[in-house]
Amino acid sequence: MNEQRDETKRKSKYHRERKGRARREERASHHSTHATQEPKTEKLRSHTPKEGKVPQEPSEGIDHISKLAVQVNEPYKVTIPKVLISTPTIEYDLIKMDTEYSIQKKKQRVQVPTIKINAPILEFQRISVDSNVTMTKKARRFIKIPRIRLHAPVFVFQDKTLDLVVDISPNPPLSDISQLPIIQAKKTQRVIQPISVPKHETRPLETTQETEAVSLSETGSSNWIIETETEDFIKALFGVSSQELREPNAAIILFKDVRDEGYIHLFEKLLLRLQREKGKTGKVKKLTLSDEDWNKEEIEKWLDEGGIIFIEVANREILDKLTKRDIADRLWAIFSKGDGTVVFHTKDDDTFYAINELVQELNWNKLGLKPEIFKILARELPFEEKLRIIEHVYGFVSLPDLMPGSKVSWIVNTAEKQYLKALKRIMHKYEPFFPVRASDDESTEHVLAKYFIIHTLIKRLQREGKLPSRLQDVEWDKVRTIIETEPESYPRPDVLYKPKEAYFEFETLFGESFRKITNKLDEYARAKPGAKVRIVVEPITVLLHLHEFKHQIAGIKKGKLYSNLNVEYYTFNLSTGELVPLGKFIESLSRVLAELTEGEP
Amino acid sequence: MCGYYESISGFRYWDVKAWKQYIQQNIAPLYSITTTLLEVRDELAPYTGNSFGVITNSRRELLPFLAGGIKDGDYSKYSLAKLTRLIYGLYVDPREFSSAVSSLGEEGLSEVVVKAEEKESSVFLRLISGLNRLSGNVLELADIGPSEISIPSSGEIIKQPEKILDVLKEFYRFSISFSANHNYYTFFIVSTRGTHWKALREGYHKLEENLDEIKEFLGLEEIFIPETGKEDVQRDYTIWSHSRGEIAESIYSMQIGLWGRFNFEVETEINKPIEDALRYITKNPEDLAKGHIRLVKDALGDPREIHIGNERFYPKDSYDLKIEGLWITDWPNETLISSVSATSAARDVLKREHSKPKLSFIEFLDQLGPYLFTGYGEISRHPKHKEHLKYYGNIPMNAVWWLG
Repeated sequence: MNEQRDETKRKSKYHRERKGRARREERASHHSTHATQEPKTEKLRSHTPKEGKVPQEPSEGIDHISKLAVQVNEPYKVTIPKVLISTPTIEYDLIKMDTEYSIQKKKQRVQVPTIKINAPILEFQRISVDSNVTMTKKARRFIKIPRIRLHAPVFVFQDKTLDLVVDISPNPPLSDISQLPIIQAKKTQRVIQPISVPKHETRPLETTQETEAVSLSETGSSNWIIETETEDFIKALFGVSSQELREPNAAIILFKDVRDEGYIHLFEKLLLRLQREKGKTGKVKKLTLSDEDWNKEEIEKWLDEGGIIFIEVANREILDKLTKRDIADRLWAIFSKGDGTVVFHTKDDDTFYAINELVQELNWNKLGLKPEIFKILARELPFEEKLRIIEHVYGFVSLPDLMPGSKVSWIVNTAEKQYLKALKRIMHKYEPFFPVRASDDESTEHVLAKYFIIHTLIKRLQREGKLPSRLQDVEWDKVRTIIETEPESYPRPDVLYKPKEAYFEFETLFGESFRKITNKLDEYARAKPGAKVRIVVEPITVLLHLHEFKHQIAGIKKGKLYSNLNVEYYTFNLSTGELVPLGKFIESLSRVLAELTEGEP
Repeated sequence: MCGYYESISGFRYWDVKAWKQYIQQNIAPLYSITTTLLEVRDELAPYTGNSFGVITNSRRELLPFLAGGIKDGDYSKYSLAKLTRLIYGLYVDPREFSSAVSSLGEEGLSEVVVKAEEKESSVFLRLISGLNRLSGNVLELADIGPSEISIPSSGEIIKQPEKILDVLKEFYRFSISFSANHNYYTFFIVSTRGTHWKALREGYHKLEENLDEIKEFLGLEEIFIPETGKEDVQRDYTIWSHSRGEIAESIYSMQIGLWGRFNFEVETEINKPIEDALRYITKNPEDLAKGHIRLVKDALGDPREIHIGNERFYPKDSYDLKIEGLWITDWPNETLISSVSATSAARDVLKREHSKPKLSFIEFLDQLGPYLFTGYGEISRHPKHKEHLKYYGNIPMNAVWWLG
């Protein structure tokens, strides 16, 4: 009801408004008609005086002036100009407004496809389900055992005469260099297979207390047994021997590191040492494969100094951006002088194999090069083993407490720092009292080693009660008469310990490799028969020349080598600050290596 | 009961006395020969890393072993120095040697250093060391003394270096004669390595009745007994092999060493030093690995693939076998998996290999039995998964890789 009422009200209001609007429009229309006619009426009215008729009612404007003129003319006869002011003529244009507009929607046609749907045709086949269960026992199985007929071997030997001639007669001097025989060593690419990690119980770390302090009367080469056939430290760890790495002038090493590890750092230290033994600087240039790093001139300069280039290829994407040509260009920059070592390292399997593929596919002949290619797959070692290996590399130096799981890179860097720190501490301790003689080109390692030898000798004299325990109380002039560095003699030892007439020779093997020791001993054998020669080397030197040391020591032990000398070998034990006989060090190392290689075929 | 193998003249595998005779005639000489060869090496080895001058001063008689036949920086065709290098891996660089002596004569030798090849390159030395250790073990276990074979002693060889060729000939003669390619006793050892009882019973008819004695003497053992309530099935499908460190295992390892090293068709040049050394005494050294494969092919056809149920099995590959009762419930092809590892296909292959339908252990062994019997394949405990078995295939050819 209310709604009807409201509706009715709305309608009546609407009608009222419509009527009102209509009336307003009508009024407006009427008014506008008058407005347009009014000027005409006015115009007619203004012409009325001209006809002599007096207006009945004064009007504003012209009518008022006319009235004044009549009133003045009568008494004074003044001629009043009759001014006729015409009313403005206003003309309006009648236009018709365009009020039309379009609200019509544009029509778009949609093409609707006509689809014909066919009724399905179903075809069924009639089969009977095999519900039979076979329970029949199969006939007895026979195995066809082959009848192998073996034949007796047939031997056809040939009788050849062995060439036993040892030609040691000197040749007449060559007049033409082209007469020199040219022998090209055949190189084979060595593929290092991944080695399975042996599972075994980790033994507690050997304490360095097991290694006895040096006693000059004790032999440095006896009382030990070589328990393992493993004779190469790098090979046991990385599958490629130090000899193999030493040989080529141009080498590409593809190194696959363990994910979340840093075995490359340990490899880098060992490789650099090998380089220094070859007389190179032993520095590392780290590059990526991106363009901006490849400054050919800089690389050449670097290589001229004997540096090694380490290229980290973090992932496959980096490699995918490069073409074979790009890689060839970069390697050409390195090997253009036929010399150089480049290490590509990655932790990603795919990337490793991709680098390998790329390197293998390069047309080395076209480049005129053929570097030796090594593939190394680092293997993950248990924490204890990692630690024991690194301890041997750095002479059992004390390491801060390590968290199990510490990465190799971290342990190596820490151990290296501690190693140098320990040696420098010893040097600074004795430097004020006992400055050693050093030649200009003497390496830091050599100077530090001399102080270490002096330190062990002074400790020995202190132990024997021949020197006071406080260094300040020592009469250094007297010490210098019994411990001499670089004395004026031939051969000239690094340190001469007069009470025992022991000649200490420290060798880094830089520039000459193991031959340096052999030469030194030859020198003593010729010039000082019967001399006590003490060869001292750094632990890392032993690791890199395990094979040579073992065989030389064995030869001496059997009396087949340097039988006219008393030779002993030592290395550093930084945890005790003593020299440790090499035999004991090798024994300890051999145990570690035996465990590493345990289970290998 | 007489079968084929019982009818072979002189092959009395069921008789311990015959086995002792076999050891005396075939293994003892190998021990003596390798011992002599190693003694010669012991004379030379201490000079490794030392100046050649030391040898000229103290052991001049050793000079030809390291420098005999070096001319103008290279070895002559039948150079003794080259033979020393091939057999023992000990050498002086021919270039260094020639260069030193050409300018200084004998005095120049102090500049030349005696070197040793890396372990990998000394394949011959590793072979004779291995044969010596294993044959020594067999003699000790069988309580047999060294052979009185007539070969020159190491001392005689040092004095008369050409006698080393006589020893080399004997080494070659006994190595070949000992091998399963030519010797039924060694073939028996190969047969009993990782084979199921049924195959052995069918092949060697007199084994069952003499089993205890032979088992005890050679060191045979059951390495896997399937779980089943049926006693006869259990016995037939029990896997037999060699006890660790016993006679059979040592002889088998000697055979693996010879298959691995007398393999001259491998892609790498791993055995080249052995072939080159043997060419001093014979034009065509026998390829034992290839010879045994030919023997198997002649008897069984090309062992490319066999069908077990609806599945294909490749006898030349290696498989990890997970056994549950009389079923092989998982049998991934490890050769295939390792060949695709580190490739994008690895995951798919691994998944596929682990989702193959199970196989009947009985059918598997019956099909594979002939290959196991000939030594082409072997079943052993899986080295990583102790509860699994492992099948190794193509053993004569793969031996070269196992030896490294």
